[in-house]
Amino acid sequence: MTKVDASVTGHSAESTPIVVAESLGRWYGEVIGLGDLSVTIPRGVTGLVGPNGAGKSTFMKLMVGELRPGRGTLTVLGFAPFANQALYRRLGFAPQQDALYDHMTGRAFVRDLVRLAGYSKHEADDRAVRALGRLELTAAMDRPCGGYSKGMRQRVRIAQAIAHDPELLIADEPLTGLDPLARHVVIELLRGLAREGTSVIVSSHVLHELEALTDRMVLIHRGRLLAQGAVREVRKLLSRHPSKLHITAREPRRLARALVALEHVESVRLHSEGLLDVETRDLAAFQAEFAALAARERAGVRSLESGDASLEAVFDYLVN
Amino acid sequence: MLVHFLRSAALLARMHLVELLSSKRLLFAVLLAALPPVLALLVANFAPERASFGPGMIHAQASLLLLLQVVVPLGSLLVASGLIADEVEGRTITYLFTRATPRAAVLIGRVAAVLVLLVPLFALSAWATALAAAQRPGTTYPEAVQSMILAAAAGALVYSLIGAVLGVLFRRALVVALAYAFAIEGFIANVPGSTARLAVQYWLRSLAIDSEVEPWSKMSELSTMVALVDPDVAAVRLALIAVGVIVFGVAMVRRRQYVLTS
Repeated sequence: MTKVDASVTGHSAESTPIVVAESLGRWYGEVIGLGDLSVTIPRGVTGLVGPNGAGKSTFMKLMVGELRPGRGTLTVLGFAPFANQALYRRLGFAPQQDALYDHMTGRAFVRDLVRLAGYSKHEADDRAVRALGRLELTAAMDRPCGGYSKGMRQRVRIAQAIAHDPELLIADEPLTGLDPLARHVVIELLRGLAREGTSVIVSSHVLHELEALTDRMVLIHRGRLLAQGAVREVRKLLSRHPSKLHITAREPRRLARALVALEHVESVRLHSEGLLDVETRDLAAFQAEFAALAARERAGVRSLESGDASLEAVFDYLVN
Repeated sequence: MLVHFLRSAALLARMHLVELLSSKRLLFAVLLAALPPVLALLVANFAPERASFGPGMIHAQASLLLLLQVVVPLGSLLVASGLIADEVEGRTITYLFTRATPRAAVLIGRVAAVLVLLVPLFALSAWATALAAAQRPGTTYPEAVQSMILAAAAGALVYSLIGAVLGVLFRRALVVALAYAFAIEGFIANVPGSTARLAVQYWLRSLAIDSEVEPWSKMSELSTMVALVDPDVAAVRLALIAVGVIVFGVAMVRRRQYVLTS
């Protein structure tokens, strides 16, 4: 076998793409899951963004070998993924679905799954404890999963994906449904993994969520690659299309008056039962100012939701 | 490689065993298994004394017509059809199929867990049925109990494997399994002529019934209306069916894609 000097060829392990998809397609009967996706994902942290139904989960299921491509080719870490044990030694997958073995404790769940990768019981237990600890689940790990909150269940799903120290972590919407504290824990974990050299592909339908993690995005819409690149470019597009937010508050009128005064807020609509719809040109500025404003006005904010409407607007813009 | 396969299968068997012990499916199978001995006990103790049947006939009726023909197929198919289908339904199959473990080990391990529970359960049911039939006052212990225990155990094995493979192939495996139990095992097995050989039931009856011994000789004339084969031939045929079914199941589980709903 001939060894090629990476410095001469310009190719190294660092520059080798982790995922290569060419004309990748997958149908569910008559429904298109993924149309014609050609994309190359390099090492590092990559955000996979797209509105609901864009094909993100299908792409992830193809990457982890849960499904086979209907057409085209796909390699992950150089392997064809479907039922490939050699790949699974180097890959961790945190699925989107809220499914665990509820009768098992978090510790036993992660430990047994790590043992399936070939580790001894003792080592698997060590790894499970370490992984659960990284996700701040140490105190709860000896309780059955059935009693966990939604956020804890989400973190257990991530723990089982990282416990065997994979080279690549694929996480499908890992931040969805998490409270701010749990979200912070998961974001810090993913950042930590990236620092340790683990490549991460993480999906979300909310672009803003991924900004905290990476500058590199792959945008998918209707099963096709729409754009790939730095998040700031996407944000520039976003700024041309106001982001929509839904707020419920005890004092909606007082809050609405204060919000209208903000320079970047384009409109505020007042609905019944304390609901406000707000449009802003600058989501980051809004988020920076909102907490202080709400406290000052004593508005009694009950919820603040950012739908994917803003992202839809960008996708519509890019498509059209 | 083989060591990893066996270790994984053993671990998966243990995981599934714990899950099964608290499952409704197993509870239903246990209740089913209790039916033949309970019925035999009732008949043995409460049938009029002038009735002409002894413990042999009670045992034969309860074990052949109820245990072997209804309880074993239904109970085994019910429990085993959930092996993979329940994982797909519960959307936990992802965790097992994205591990560095052969998919075949997942199937084999989980089937092993079912067999560890069901084979002794139905064998015990056959033995308890004979014991219950022997409670008939003034009579002796029924004949050919061992062959019935063997047939019940073999039935649990073969039907569990069939149930597991149906679970690999179909999302609604329980419905398919019930259709199979009634259409093939309940109907075809009782059709006169050689068609009955298509049913596992035919081979189980051949394994259980020793036509030389009363009351099996009477039972074979009454209930099967087809010539049964020698028990040794039936045992070999059942073993071949079991091997064929599991090989087919392994081939299918390695190829199968499971589309999970979010």
